[in-house]
Amino acid sequence: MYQRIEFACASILLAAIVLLVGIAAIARVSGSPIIWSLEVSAALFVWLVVLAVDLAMQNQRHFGLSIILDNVSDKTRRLIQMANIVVVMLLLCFLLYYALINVPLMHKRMLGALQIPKSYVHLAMPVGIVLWLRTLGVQLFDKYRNI
Amino acid sequence: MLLIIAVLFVIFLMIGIPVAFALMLASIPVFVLEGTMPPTIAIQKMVTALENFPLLAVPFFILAGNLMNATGITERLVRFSRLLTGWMAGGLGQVSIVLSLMMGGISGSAVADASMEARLLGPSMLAQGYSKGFIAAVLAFGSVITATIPPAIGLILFGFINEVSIGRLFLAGIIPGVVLTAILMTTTYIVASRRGYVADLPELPKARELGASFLDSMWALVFPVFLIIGFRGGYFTATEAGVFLVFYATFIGVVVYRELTIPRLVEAFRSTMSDLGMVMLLIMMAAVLGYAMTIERAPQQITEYMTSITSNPSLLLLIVCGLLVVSGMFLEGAANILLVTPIVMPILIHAGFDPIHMGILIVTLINFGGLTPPVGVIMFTVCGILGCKTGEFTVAAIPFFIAMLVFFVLLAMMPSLALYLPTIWMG
Repeated sequence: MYQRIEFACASILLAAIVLLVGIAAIARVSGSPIIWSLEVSAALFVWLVVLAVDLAMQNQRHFGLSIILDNVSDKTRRLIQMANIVVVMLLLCFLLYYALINVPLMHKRMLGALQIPKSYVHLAMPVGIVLWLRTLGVQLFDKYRNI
Repeated sequence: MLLIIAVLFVIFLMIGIPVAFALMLASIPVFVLEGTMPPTIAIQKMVTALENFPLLAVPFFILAGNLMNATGITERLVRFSRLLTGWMAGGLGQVSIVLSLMMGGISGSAVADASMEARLLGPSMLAQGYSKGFIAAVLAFGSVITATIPPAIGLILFGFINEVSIGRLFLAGIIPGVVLTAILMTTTYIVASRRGYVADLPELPKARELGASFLDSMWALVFPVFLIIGFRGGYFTATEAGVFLVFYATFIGVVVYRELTIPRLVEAFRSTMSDLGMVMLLIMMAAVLGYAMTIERAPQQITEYMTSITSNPSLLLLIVCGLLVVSGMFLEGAANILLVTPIVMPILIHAGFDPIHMGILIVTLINFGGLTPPVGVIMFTVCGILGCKTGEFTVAAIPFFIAMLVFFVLLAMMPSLALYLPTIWMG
């Protein structure tokens, strides 16, 4: 259910960006450019990406090297994989702290054409990092249970 | 500090941390230890890397490629390439190479193309008695063609990170792609004749059959032509071309072929999200590392170091090419383009090379790295699907390695191969 909602949100964002850029291109060619289309599509894109990163994470798409992992016993491999997840989670906690600090900093800056605070765009980072942490937490738990 | 970054990156990479996170982990010391840059800057760099209009071309082309696949165009292209080249010696091998050339306009990534063809053509090639090593080699080498034909994702990323015109890169890739196709087909012909591999079709196809199949798959084949006209006339940017292709694919799927159903559409979106998330996380993290490297003046230091070794442009190019092949062995194409090209491009431009020419050379070289034992990613993908041992692949691939070297020498010595089209069409 959770994943479906996430996927649906991401798909709507992607479709919206496609339509927006398409309409803006037609508008520009026909002589009445939409000045806010660029920054809005870029802002939506930031939100799309944090969701897509999470979806890719659920599908184990963020690849790494497997030179060492392929040459150790099954159990050692699981332990290393768990340690790796913990390292990435610690990294994300570190980033989350600064991502939260960053949002109010961006509140005074405005998107040029629409005068919307940039914090709405930068808010995607802490939200995204929390989602990523959740996914990694689930994966860590699964690995721990199967050890 | 540069050394710390490099050592950390290698350590994290070796223990199997995903490349994107390894990048971030390696760049954190710059923010924490130097003390001049608060880590909030890192977060801001991640966001601003994404708020970049040309970068939107990436999701558009990925989505368009997945949609095109969902329309049933792939099967039609297979049929067409089979009629076109199936009668030659090593028929299915030739088919796979021509298919890579035509799929270039759709799939845009060598790994994706290679795995698609291994699933689609691999079994029938085995059934016709080709050795596994030969099949893996033909499919893997053929897939590199995809990386040069517009709209290759690698070229978009290269243009984005090195601030080179994506439209020009697209045009520049066409002739090298066709030349590479011809070289690989000749090689396949020679190898297949020696090994006594039969043709797939007993005789030349009838003109009528070929014509009908061409018309059927024409929609995929004319797209690169649309792109070129669009760029030349300045009707759209690379990003808008991506949107155009999305609409185009939807139109073909719904109106022309009528095979694009809702479940297929959902599936296309699902693979798009996965692909997109993978590439974009790399871009965000590479942007942070890139920023950290700029603070450390890494590109200048590396350029100075390289030019202190030699100032001979050809020798410099040779060193850079070697470096790219080595990093291409370990890292996937997108990661490589984002990481390595910003470091080597200043050296090459300083030595007087044309950025567009270098772009095509570098992107093909990086993909070539993916074919090289012991660790190339494309090689692993194909061998994994076919159940072929790396050793078998290596032996069978020797003639293709030689062919590739011929191609790289040609491309390096004759910049006009790449620059002819962009110069005559875009000035």
